[in-house]
Amino acid sequence: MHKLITLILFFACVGFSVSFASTEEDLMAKGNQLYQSGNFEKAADMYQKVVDSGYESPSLYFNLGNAYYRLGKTGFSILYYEKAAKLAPSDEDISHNLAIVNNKIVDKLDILPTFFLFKWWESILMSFTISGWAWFAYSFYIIVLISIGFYFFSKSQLTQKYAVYSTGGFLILLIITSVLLSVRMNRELNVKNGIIIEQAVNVKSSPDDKSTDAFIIHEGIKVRMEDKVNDWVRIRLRDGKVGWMQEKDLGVI
Amino acid sequence: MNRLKLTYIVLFLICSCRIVLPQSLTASASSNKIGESDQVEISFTFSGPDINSATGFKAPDFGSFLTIQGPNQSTSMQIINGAVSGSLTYSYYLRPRGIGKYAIGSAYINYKGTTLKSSPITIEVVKGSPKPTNNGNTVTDNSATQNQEIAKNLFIRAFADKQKAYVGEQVTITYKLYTRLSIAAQMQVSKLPQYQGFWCEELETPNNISFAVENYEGKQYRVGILKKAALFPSQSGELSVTPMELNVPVQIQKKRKQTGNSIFDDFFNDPFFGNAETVNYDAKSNTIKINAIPLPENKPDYFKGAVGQYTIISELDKNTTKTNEPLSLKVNIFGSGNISLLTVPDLNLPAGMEKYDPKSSDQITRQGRISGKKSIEYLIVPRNAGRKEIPPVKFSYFDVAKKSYVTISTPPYTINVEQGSGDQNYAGLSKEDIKLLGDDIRYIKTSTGGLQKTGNIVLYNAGFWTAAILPLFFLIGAVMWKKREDKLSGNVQLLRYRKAQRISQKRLKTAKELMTAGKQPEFYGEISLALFGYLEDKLHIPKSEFTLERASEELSKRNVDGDLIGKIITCAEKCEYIRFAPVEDGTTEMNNMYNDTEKLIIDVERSISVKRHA
Repeated sequence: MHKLITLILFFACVGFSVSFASTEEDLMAKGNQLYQSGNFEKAADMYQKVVDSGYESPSLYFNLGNAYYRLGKTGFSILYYEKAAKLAPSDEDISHNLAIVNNKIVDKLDILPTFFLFKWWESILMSFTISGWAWFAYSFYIIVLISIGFYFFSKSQLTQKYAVYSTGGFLILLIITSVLLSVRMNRELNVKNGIIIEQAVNVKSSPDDKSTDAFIIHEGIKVRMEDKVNDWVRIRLRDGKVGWMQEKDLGVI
Repeated sequence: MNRLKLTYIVLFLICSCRIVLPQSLTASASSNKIGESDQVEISFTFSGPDINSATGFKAPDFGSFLTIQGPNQSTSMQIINGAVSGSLTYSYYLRPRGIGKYAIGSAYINYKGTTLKSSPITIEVVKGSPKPTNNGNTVTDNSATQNQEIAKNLFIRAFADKQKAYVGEQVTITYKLYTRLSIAAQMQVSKLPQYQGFWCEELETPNNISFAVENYEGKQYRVGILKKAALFPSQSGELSVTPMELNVPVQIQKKRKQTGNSIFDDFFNDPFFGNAETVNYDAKSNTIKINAIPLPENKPDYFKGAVGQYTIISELDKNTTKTNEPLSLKVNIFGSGNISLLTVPDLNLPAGMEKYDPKSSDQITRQGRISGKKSIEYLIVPRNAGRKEIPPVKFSYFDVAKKSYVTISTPPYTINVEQGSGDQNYAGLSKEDIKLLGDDIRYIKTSTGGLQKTGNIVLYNAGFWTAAILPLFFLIGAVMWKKREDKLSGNVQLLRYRKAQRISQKRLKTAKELMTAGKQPEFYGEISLALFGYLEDKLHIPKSEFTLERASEELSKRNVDGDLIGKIITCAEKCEYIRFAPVEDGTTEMNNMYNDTEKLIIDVERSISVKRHA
């Protein structure tokens, strides 16, 4: 049994050890200092540098969102809060700030109330990231294996009985989390959401500059990106409106 | 055939001859001689049968003239005896830039592939106005001496009440007409002054100029106020106001020839007899220069450019209200200064209260000093119940008299908000939204750790899958091992049978060690142990019952080759023999023995195994 634990620990360490990026951490610390001293523009630059160098973390996106909020760039601040929320869905600071910034959005969409089961499903699904769900599934899987091990190695009949129950129970949990993981993964990879970063965007009825305006939306609105033609994207608002807009006016979460 | 063709050509020629009418482009001027301040109308007229075919009109360069208006395009068409003709006119209104003779070049137009050209025209610009006035019986006399004469007796003076002013401070300028001549008709302003760098408010002056007698440089003039304006410098530095120009028709006496009879002369020189003439005179005022001083630097927070003297009065319509029922806070700013430029002061409401964009209106009195009031109405909607305070509205201005900034404010108001009926949802904001209105964002996270490569999904990591699969293999392996173990422990004979060869190998190993140490009896003891032990285990013979005969019996039962059995028996006997009667220097003997035994065991193992599997 000792062997098993050490093996698991070993692989956990090898496989998921966070690659530490010291220069990026320095940049972020510098950004925090600048933010502290009220120089939000420079702070945003610093954070942006870290993002551009290919790193991410909930705190980084959160701080960048804060800096953009202070600079009055609602669209960008929502974009980065959303990115932060994607990495850390249950972080209370992020959802608080996101709620405050969302309050500044010009457009108020009328969203049809959804059936409570769908709501539950959504909230359960969104409460962890892909990695979060993966870890859940992994731990249930390990527990299932350990239970099977107990069944085979234990001498007493009672222990074996419990091992059977625990194997069954955790197997069900494993299946549930795996389903959630795959749905979440599918969502993440196929559904792209964006935030409007331009102050006001004329959404067209077709991917063409000359086509008629379908509607106008303002900075900060979250849209789903459904299709792409050259540099035009087809967007869907949460109230169901559909139109085309230039990709550059959008920030992908 | 040929003849028919010819007929067609002739017919066509006849037809086209009828159509072809002369077309031309002519240039004309309304007048060839104009005054320097007059306008001239230049027209280019194209006339031809098909004016729609005339395209690409190109006007000449009016270099020495200023285009005031144009091109104005007009067309006319007429049909005479079935022949259509028309004209297309482009006209320009020009004003000369200087005195002299100027030529206006040719204009071009394309007509059915040919370019038509107008002839150039010359326009003479002279000083003053050569145009006779409408009055038919007046005679134009444009001599310079006459103008000088008039200038002495009729002029406009512009006054500013101060030469130095702060930015935003009022400067009043007055235009006064001084005259000793009689003015024949309505005066016309030909050029208004330009107030560059100022915000200007015209002050009210009576519509009819009333003249008063005033002494200026020892002469008596009739003086009338033409215009008054309040100027507010909008930038600092030396600012100037361009002169005002006024066209005054002046009546002057036409001098009669002296007849010598002065009594009659005096009599007939009386204007009553109508021997006066009217001259249009352009009166021009002087330029005013004003030095605008920038405002001092220590501007207070609430200062937004107001200069003058102000007071503030506020009024709240009620002290008690219900949630979502609006209150109106009226703030009036009274005073003198650039009222219309005052920006609405900010009202910073605490959380839980909302305001709409304030409405503001101005009432300005334009007499002497610009003064009046700006009324601002803030509509406040309390969203939460409780005692709330409306903070004071602060307003700063620069007091010119005191040369310092002054901040005035309204008193704060405490209002009592009761919970109103009805839903809290209001103007698209939910309850939570309103709660958040006054809230600020949370502070940044100070930890810098946890940075990860973007797009790092655990599932794409090879380590994750290794960590997932390895425990599974480990478990399967462990379970299999356990199963085998259980099977073996359940059957000692089987265990011994399986371990027989391994145990004999171990014994042979110790025997080899003994051989190198040269201990003969011990070596043979070990060899016989290895061989007998092996046979015991393999043939399931208990140690107590073991004899060579039993062993050979069992071996033959298992169909082991008779040769091999014989070899085993000789080997065993040899062992027994040498154990009790050692020989001198048995190293080669021992080596042979060792090899033989090893080979025997391997052969037996192989033959038994083969038999079993067969």
